Formats: sequence, C-alpha cells, structure tokens
Amino acid sequence: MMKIIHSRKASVSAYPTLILAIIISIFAFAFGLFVLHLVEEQVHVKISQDITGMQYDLLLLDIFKAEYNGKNVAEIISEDYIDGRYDNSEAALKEILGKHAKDVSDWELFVEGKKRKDSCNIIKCNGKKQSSSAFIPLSSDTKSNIIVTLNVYTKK
Amino acid sequence: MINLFKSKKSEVDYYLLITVIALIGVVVVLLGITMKPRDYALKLGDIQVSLLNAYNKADKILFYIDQSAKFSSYKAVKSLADNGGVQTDECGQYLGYKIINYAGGSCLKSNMIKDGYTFLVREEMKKYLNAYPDENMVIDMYGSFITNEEGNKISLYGSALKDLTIDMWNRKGQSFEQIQEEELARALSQEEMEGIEEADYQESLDEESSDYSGDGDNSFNLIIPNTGLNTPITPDTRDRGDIDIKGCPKVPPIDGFVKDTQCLGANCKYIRREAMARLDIARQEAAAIGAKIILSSGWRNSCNKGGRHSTGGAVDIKLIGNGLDCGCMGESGYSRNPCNQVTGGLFAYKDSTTPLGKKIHNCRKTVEKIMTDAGFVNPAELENWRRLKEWWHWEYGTKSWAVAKAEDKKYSMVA
Repeated sequence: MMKIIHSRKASVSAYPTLILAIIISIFAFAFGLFVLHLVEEQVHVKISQDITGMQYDLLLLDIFKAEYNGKNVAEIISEDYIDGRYDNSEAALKEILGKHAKDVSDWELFVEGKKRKDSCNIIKCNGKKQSSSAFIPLSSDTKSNIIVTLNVYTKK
Repeated sequence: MINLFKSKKSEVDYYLLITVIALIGVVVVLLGITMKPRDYALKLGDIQVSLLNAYNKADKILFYIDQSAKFSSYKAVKSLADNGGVQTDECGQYLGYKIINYAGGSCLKSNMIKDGYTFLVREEMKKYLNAYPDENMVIDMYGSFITNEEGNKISLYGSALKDLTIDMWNRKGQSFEQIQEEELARALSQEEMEGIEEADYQESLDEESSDYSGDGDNSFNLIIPNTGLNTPITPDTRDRGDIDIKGCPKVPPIDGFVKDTQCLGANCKYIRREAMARLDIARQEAAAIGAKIILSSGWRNSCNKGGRHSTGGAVDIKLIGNGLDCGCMGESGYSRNPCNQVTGGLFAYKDSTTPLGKKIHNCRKTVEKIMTDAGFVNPAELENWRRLKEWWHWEYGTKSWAVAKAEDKKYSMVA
C-alpha cells in the first residue's frame, strides 16, 4: 500500500479505490449496525410487550380490589353474578376505570367466559387490548367460584 | 493472474477486488450471526419476565385469599348468629332449639364464641381455597383471632403464619439445569415436528445437551409475605394446572385424561386415557416400520374453538421417519389450503402421478392403516366433509367414532 501511494502513477489510481473501499466499509458497518439494531429491537419489543401486559394485569387486579360504595369491585361482580344483572358492576367499573386508568377508552367484562358488559363502540372496541383475569370466590355459595376477565382498550 | 500484477492498473483492481470480497464476507458473517439466533433454552429477559409473572401470580393468590377470608368471616358470623352464638350443642336440643342453660347451670363456656368462630372460618376457608386452581396456593398455617372487645365492638383479625412461595418457573422440584434441558428438548421437539429425521434429532439432542451443563444448584423462587386468613385443611391433590387469559383451563379440568406418553417438553398434549392407549398401539405399529407418530394436537378447551378436540378423543398426528413424507398439514383457510385440495379420496394426493405425489400418497395410506388398526376413525372420510380433508385428524370414542363403529359414544366435550 505504501508503495502505491509513494508512486505518483499508482497514487493517482489508488486514491479512488481507497475512497471507494472506505465508502463501502462505512455502508457495510452501517448495515451491520442496522441488522443488530433490528434484532435488538425485536427482543426489546417482545420484552416490553410482556412487561406492559403484566403491568396492566396488575393494574386491572387493583381495579378488582378497588372500593365502590363500601364494597370492592370483585364483590360487586360476584353479587351481580348471583343476581344475573351487571348494573352495579358497570357503574363501579365506569367510575373506577375513569379514576385509575385514564388511558383506557373502552372495556369489556367477561364472567365465566361470557361477555356481560361493555362500553365499546357500536362496531367494535378500539385501541390496544389489555386483559386480566381473576378467580373470585362467590359470596353466597362457597362450592363455586367465578372467573372474571376484564379487557380494556387503551387509547391509540 | 500473474500478468495482472505486472500492470499498475491491474494492481489497483486487485486491491479493490480483495476489499469488496472481504466486505461481503464480513456482511455475510454478520448476517449469519445475527439473522438466525440460536434457540436458546433461556432468552434475553426471560428471568425478568418470569419474576414479574411470579409477582403477578402471587398478587392474584393474595387477592383471592383476602376475598375468601372476608366471605368466610361473614359466613361464620352469620352461622354463629343463626345458632344462638354457639357452634356445639353439648346440652342437646329442644324442639329444634339449642339448649344453652339448664337447671344445673350454663352450657356456654367462656371462649365458646371464639372457638365457634374460628372453627367455622376454617371450614369455610377449606371450601374456598380448595377451589383455587393453582398449586402455589398456601392451604395451611393461617390463624384467625377475635380481639379488641370494647363495648359492643368486636374486631376480627386474620393472619398468615407461612409465606407464599411462587415458583418462578412454574415447575416445582426441578433444578435450573433440568429446566434448561427440558426447554432444549422442547425446542428440538418443535424442530422435529418440522421434519428433521429421528437420527438427526437424537444426535442434535446429545450434542446440544452438552452445551448446557449447569451446576444444578439454582433456586428461583419468589417468596412473598402472605397476608390472607386461612386454616389447616386437606390439600387438593389434583393438578388442575393454570387458566389462560380467557379464564379457560389449559389442561383438562376433569379426571380420565393423560399426558402424551412420548412428550419431551413442557407443553404436552392431553387426551383421554383409552385414546392414549390406542395411540400407543399405533405408535408400536409405526415403530415396527421404523417410523414415529408425533401427537400434534390433543384436547383443546372449547372456549378456544377446540371443536371435536374438546372431547379429548380427537388427535392430530404426524408420521415421520424412515423416509416417509405425508406432505403438509393444513391449519387454517381450509378450502383454500392446498393441503386439503385432494382428489380421489382423503388419502390420495392431487398429484399422485409424480414421484413426490406417490410418496405422499403412500405415507397417508400408511397413516390410515396404522390408525385404523389401532381403532381410530377419520371423520372427514366417513362424513364426506367437502371442504375439509384432514388426513391427520383421527378420533376415538367420539360421536363420529360411535357411528362408524356402531357403538355408544364414550366422550363428550370437556370445558
């Protein structure tokens, strides 16, 4: 390489080659970084999605624990389940979700796998869906428990 | 090449060529390393996510214990009130009423209400905690107390005497090394499902296992203070597993199901006990010709569209080994999926004139023979499903099976 640069004739031809090599190296390096970034981002997105889902799971569990008119939401839902009506659950969820989960636009309540109440638009719930399920003991019948699932849709 | 070096111009071209080749090499190596990450037993963030999962699970259990304690307490107080404040009837009854005083003195002891309350709370908690579908639930070492009796006010307290321990990996009694090996086996099992030969599989299993030799002395438990109220009870020994996000069971919630006898990994399939016995017979027949039957799908819960699989008598299988090739298995878009576009019957292949078509045709005929010999039926053929021709779907003990065999149906849908 040194010889090429020291020779006048050679140096004239060598400089474009060196410049080209440097440019290609920069592109290759940038491409490598881009690939690494993609892989890293995929991992990062997966982990953050998992963690966000869990954070919502815990937040929604707190919603079940939250008190409304002297009872917690879980207790209200279990009583509504026995009565076959979910008006109290709806009122409690509307108020508590409004207070504690302000980025939530729509929600759905499932009891025993069946949808009981929702605040969704006419066609469908919008936004990113987050979900939490809890096993709740029944207040009047200890032989059975109910599985309650709360889906919320965060604002876009 | 020698002549090229003699010219200065060619010398420059040579450097350019070397540079480009080297750069291409670097990029290819880089791509090779990054674009196809190895399926490690543990991935980045797994431990952190497991920790959060364990915390989440613990919070749900504590919430359930709190609620159970509250309801148990309400019921104990009501039950006591209904019985005049006493639980026992040492002095007997008169006209359905408990006698608490008689001519010789009082039947009430000083701590009768406290004892009665504690007993009733314990009985109610038994029922609640036994119903919780998680083996991590602490079902003993709780206490309940009545304190602060001031005037008409009585306070009821409960406390847990044992911490709640959550297995971060949800696999009790296994060391970190065992978990890694199991994860590896599961990953390889998936590869096998994608068509690797049995010999390659065993070889790769041996090879890969040697890369994961931990000290086996790791413990990954999350211990969380238990704040619930509980009492000693008989544990519920049935492993009912976990529930999914829809609240549906991940494993069959009733007895009579068994895990896939050849399952290596964690996500094993469940089917009815007798169906598994039949499948084992089919596996023996497959082994006789140097092949192996993989159970791709067994019981599925009905809320996740399990269909016939919810009976536990339906199986989706794949036959591999000994050069067999049964072609693809359709999963969705039935009518459009080329796997299902078969002519000349379920076990024919649309292009059976070509060597590959013949190979696939023979493989499917082998599946038919093995599974039929073992007592299974294929409802797609029997019921002449027009759109769905699943050569891999076989049933035992279901309604279709009963019709085909002129016997009574054995299994109904479960969960």
